[in-house]
Amino acid sequence: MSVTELVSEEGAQEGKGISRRSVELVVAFVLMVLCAALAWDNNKIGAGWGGAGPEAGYFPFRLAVGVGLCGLAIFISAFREGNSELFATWLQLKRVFQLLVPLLVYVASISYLGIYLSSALFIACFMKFAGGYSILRSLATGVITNLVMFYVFELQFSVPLPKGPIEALFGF
Amino acid sequence: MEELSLLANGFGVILTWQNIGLMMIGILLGIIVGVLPGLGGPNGVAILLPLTFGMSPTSAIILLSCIYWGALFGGAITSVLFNIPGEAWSVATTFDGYPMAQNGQAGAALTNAFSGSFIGAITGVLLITFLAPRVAAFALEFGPPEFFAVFFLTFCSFIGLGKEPKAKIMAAMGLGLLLAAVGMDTVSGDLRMTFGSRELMRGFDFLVVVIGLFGISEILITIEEGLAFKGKSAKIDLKVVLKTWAQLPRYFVTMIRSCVVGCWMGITPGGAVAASFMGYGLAKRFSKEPDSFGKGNPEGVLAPETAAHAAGTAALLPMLALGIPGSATAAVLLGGLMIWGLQPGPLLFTEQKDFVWGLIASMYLGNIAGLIIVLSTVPLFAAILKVPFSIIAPMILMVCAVGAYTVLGSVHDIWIMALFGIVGYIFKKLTYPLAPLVLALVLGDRLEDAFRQSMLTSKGSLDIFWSNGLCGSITTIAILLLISPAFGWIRDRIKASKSAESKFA
Amino acid sequence: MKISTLSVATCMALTMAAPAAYAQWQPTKAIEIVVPFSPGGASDQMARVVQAIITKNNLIKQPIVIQNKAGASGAEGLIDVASDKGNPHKIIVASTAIYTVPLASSVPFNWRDLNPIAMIAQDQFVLWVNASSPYTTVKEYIAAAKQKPEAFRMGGTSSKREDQVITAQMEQATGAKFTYIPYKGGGEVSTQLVGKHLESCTNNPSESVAQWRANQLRALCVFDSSRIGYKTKITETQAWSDIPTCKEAGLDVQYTMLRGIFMPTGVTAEQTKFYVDLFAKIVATPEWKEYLEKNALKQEFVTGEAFNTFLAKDENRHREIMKAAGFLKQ
Repeated sequence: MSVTELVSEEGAQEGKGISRRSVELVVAFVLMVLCAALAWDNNKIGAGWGGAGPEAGYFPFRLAVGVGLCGLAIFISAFREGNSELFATWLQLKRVFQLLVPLLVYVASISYLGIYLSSALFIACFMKFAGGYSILRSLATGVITNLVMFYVFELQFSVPLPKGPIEALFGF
Repeated sequence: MEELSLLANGFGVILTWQNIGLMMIGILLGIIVGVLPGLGGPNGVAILLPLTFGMSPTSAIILLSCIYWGALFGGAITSVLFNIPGEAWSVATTFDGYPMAQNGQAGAALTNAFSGSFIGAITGVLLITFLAPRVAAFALEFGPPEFFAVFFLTFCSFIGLGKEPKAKIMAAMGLGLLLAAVGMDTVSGDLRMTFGSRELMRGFDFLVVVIGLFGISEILITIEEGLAFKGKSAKIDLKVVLKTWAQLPRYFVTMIRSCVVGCWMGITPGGAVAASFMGYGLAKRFSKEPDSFGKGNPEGVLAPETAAHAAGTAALLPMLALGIPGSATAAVLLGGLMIWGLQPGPLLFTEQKDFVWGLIASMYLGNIAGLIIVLSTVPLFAAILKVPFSIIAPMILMVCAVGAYTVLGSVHDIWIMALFGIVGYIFKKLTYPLAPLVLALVLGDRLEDAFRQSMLTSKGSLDIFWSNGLCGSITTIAILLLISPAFGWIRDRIKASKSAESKFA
Repeated sequence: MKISTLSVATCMALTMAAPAAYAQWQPTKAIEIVVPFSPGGASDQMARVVQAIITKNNLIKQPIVIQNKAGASGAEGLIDVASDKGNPHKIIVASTAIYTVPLASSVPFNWRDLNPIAMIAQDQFVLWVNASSPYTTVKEYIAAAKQKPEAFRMGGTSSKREDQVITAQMEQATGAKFTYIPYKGGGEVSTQLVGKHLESCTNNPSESVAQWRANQLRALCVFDSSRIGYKTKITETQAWSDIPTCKEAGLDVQYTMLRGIFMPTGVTAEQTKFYVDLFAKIVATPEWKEYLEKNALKQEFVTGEAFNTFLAKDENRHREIMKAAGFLKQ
């Protein structure tokens, strides 16, 4: 992600964290690129004012151009300002990534393990490594929470959630 | 007063032990359904619908409508405690509800939300009781240009309020409108901005985006400061309810305003979502201290909740009298009516008196019972904030994932949610306002549809928005609201220059 | 081609689950009914009636779960089922949208990606006008529409779908020009017509029956080859069978919409047969007949090769009408 690139780029001069200005510039730039792509796509399906009012791409095309211009304005003002405020310190970022990375691993595992097993593992690992609880307590919390979830969603309300190999063993 | 005797009759129909029991069960189930964002009102009602096929229509509608009330109450709980709105109309409740919870006033915030809901709902029921047939006819006046005018008015009452840099407000709102447009376009049937992706074809569901933008990003921001909830745990007991109630009369005007906005939006199918944003926007605009909004002002909880529930309840009126559902949950109820052999529509009020007035009577009792039940659970829910962060955080994330999945039954949506969690984190830190983005995402496609339907009618001429008195006046009010901040700004400038002159003179 | 895939699938099933394969196949877990529309619509109601009939008459031991996948005009639900090859616990309630949506837009789907089980009903379309309008016959209405080209607003659900296809057929048959205005659902269209924001619409009977009974709407004709069969009085003076067909009223346009059940491909012949038999039982119940009458649906039960032939023919018919109207994707 863009944030990680910045870490190496800006880290040497700032030392204490990522400057707000650099994140501001990157976000504004991403906005502009995104809007260029959207404007192109909408122009393709027709962005004119047809016989029966606006065509399908009329509003999205103009919106994309508008947001792109806003992005440009934000870029320019961030570039000029040059203030040295921090977006986040390294320590803060480290903490955010300590949550974000497990979260993404968790989301990825849902497709393979099903939501119940993944959630049980996620809760247990989080409690163990972030909270410092004992393995037993962590596992118990994770498993019990998910048994309750299973009971409520699958058995009581019959709302099917993604399931994996464990549930298949029991015939679900 | 013919209505009163009919209503008394209705109470006679529903006041059996069995029906009261069903009412309690319905409310409790509804709260559970409302708290778990994955289930939500429409799902909850749809899931329980088959259970009711064996019951009499009156008992069935009592059970289901009480689930509806329960879910309406329950939706506010996650908004206040975790910044995760369970339903679209609880988004505006998070703006001040969550900051209040962080300041250690979770109990007060919940009490305000529930009381506001109750007052709004009762106003809506009163409206249905006494004005039903006349008001229903008014809803027929609304064609595409009028719809456009109403949604436009909602936007105008809300924008121009933020203090963030103007470019960022506009970018956020534009992004919201763009997100709303992704997927299949109703008017032309074309696929827009999908870049050939099958996953993008269905567009961005509002709830998935909001769970990410609000819920996930909040946890990311919280964890920056280490493993602790920012919320101070205050002493919580039932006294907080009474203390909060003692403050309520101060917000009398706000509540009246929200009730009017809500009832109006409910009848003119603008809907509860539009009503909640408009209620919040107007409360802030007319407040003496608009700056305190967004930082935990109780008025900012009361105003949207009252408006949303007045609208949600009043929306049952067009459903019963015209057969058009005002919300997804109402649509499921409507399907239920047909399965029980009732025909919603203009004749329902004359042909099925017992049923209609039983339902209306159950709205009074259901809301009173609901209020009592939810208020007694305030300490319980507020106590959730005392659970250590390293236990509650993964559980919140799990509930978010479940919620994102169940909206459309797609694992892909869980990724979208995580992505918007990161976007929300960065946007919050860079002061891109999220509220206009969310408002635009909710109302964007309806606004565009109404505009283009109007254009089809008028062959591309904008005059249609002033083609009759109703539509013209709403459009004009909207434009006045839109430019009113500019007036204030000019006045300030003139004052400033005058005082400057007087100094030099 | 079809036979060979089926037999390969059968062989695989034989080797994998040898003892059970000879006995009649039975579902082993909850059956999911996918509804490619949002809760409360006509398809959703049909799915819930099916669910209620199965549960009430104890036709299957396993529970039935309904999943609404309404994204992209229902294409999401269709693609979801099409891509879940070999899953015998999933069926979908589909309508004519299985050809109109892929014909009109670049949605990557074709009904041949699904395994057709049965057509369980046909839905009718009726030409409705406001009861206070001066038109009492189709002829008067068409004559008035011809005088003011494009001034007559015709409402309907979505774009380039059933309602707009009928409107296009009417234009092709009479030379009149309408302004078609798409809405999100039939209920909304009906109220808009009552509020005189439209001149007419082509709603299904069930979508406008309430307003018809309240004498707010007038039914001019039904777009079918024969009149609707239900003879019970619905309004004070009329029954469904009193509405003339459009053809006998002088407007030669016919259109009915299929309502059918499909499942993923790649399942065994026994599994397909299980659902064919199941729906044969469902449509024989009195509850189903009552449901059909209440919604003025046409009773129709077609399975197997006959259903496949029907689908292929119906798709071609749609392609032609939509081509003439210019609705096909470029």
